[in-house]
Amino acid sequence: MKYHLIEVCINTYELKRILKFNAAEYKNIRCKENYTYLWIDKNYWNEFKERCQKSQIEIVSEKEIGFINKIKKIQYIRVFGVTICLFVAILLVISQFVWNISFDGNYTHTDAELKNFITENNINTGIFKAKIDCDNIEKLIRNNFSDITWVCAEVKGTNLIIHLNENYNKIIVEKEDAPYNIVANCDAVIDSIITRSGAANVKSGDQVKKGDLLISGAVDVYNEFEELISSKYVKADGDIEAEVNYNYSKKYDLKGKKKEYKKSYYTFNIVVGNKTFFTDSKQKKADVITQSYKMKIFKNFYLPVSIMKKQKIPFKYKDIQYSKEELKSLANKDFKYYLMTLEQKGYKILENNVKINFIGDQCVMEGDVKVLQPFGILETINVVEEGTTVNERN
Amino acid sequence: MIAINKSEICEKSSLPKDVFLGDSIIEIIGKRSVYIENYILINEITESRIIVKCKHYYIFVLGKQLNIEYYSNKACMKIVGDIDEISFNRSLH
Repeated sequence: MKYHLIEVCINTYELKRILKFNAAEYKNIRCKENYTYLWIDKNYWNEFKERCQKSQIEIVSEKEIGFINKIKKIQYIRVFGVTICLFVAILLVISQFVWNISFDGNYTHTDAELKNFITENNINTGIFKAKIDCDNIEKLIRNNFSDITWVCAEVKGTNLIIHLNENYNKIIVEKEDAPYNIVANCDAVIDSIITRSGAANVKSGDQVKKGDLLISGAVDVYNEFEELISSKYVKADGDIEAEVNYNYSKKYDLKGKKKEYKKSYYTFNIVVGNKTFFTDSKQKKADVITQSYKMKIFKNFYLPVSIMKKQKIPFKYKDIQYSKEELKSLANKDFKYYLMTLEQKGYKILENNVKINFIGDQCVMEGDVKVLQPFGILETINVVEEGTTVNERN
Repeated sequence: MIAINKSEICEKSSLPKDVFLGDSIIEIIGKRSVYIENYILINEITESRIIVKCKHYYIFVLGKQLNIEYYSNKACMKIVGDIDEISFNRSLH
C-alpha cells in the first residue's frame, strides 16, 4: 500500500550511483528519455537528500505521493472532521435526555392514557435523565390506577420503559387506605349480592337508584344486651350483580351523503421535538392515516427526530338516497357493534327491546337493552379526627 | 598446486550454489515479471532494456515498457513489463 512516498526524478546516468546507496528500498524505477523516476519511503527521504548532496547528485524534481498525501489534499477534510466531532458531541448531549416513553404489559389502559397521565406529572419526552425518579413514577401510577398491581420503570438508552401488570379481572379493588362504602353507579335492579366485608344494605330483587348505598363500610357493634357500642369502619367489599337498562337511540336519514374516494397519496413530515417540518399546506378534504416512526440507533437509543408518514385519501361528498333495506342493514350493523362493545365489557345481555321504525324521511332505531353486569362504585368515608370516623350518609 | 573446482565441491557437499559460487537466483513468471536475487548493481536501465550486473556475468532483460517495481541494494529486485528475452553475457557487448 502506498502510504507516504516521495517520487524523485534524476538524470538516468546518476542512477547507478544512487542504487549503490544502502537505501531501504526503491520502488517503481522507470526511465523516460534521459530521466529516471523512482519512489522512496518518506522515512528515508532526509537521509537520501543528504547523500545526494554529498555525492553531488542533482535531484531534478520531487513529489509527495501516497494515501496520506491524497487525504491531505482533500479540500473539505477539516470540515468533514469538524462535522464528525460535532455529530459525536450532539449524540453525547442527546443521550442525556429521554426521547421516548414506552409501556409494556398494559391491556385495559392504553399507551395514550398512561402517557397523558405521566405528562400531567411533568414527565415527558425531552426530560433530563438525571431528573427522572423511577420510584416516584412507579408510586404515581400505582396510586392513580387502582387496577395496576405492579409497576417497574427503567431508563434504557434514551428510552423510558414502564412495565406494568394489570389486575383486569377484578372490577372493584382496594383503592386507598381509608374505609369506604359501595354505592350504586346508576339505576338498576339488584340480581345478586355477596358481601365479603361491610354490611349489605340491599338484597336480591331490590330496585336501587344512582348513589344508593349497596354495601356499607360502617359495621355496628352491639353488646350482649343488643345495645350499640360503636361503629367499626371497614373497606366494603363484595360481588354485586345488577340488571341495568341501557337506552339505545339512533336516527338515520334516508337522504345521506357518501364519501367518494379518489386515489390516495403519501406525504412525509419530519418532526423534531414538537415542531413539524415539510407540512402539506393543501387543505383538501381527505381521510388521513398517520404513522409515526421514531428514529433510533440500536434498540433503545431514540433520537428526538421522527418521521411521520401520512396516507391521504381525498374524497368528495356525494348526495345519495338510501333505500329502506339499505338503511335497515346500516342500523343493524351499528346496533350489533354496540352490543358487541357491551359484551366485551363482560355484560350479559338479558333483553333486547330495540326496534327499527320509519318516520317520514328518517329511520329511528330505539329501545332498551337490559344487561346483567358487575355493579357498584367506591365512596370513601371521610375521617374527621383520630378515633372518630364520620360516615357521610349518617 | 591443487586446482580447486568450486562447482564440484558444491555438488558433492550439497552447499547452496548461490552462496558459495555467488550465482544469481532468477525467477521468471510468465512474460510479465522477473525476480532477480544476488546481483551487484543495475548497469543500464531504459524502457526496452535492463542490464543487471552479477558476479560472473551480465543479465540482459529485453522487452517493452520495462520498469523495476522494487529494488533493494544487493538483495532482490522485480522487473515488470512485456518481457521478450532474457540472456546472459560475460561482457556488456
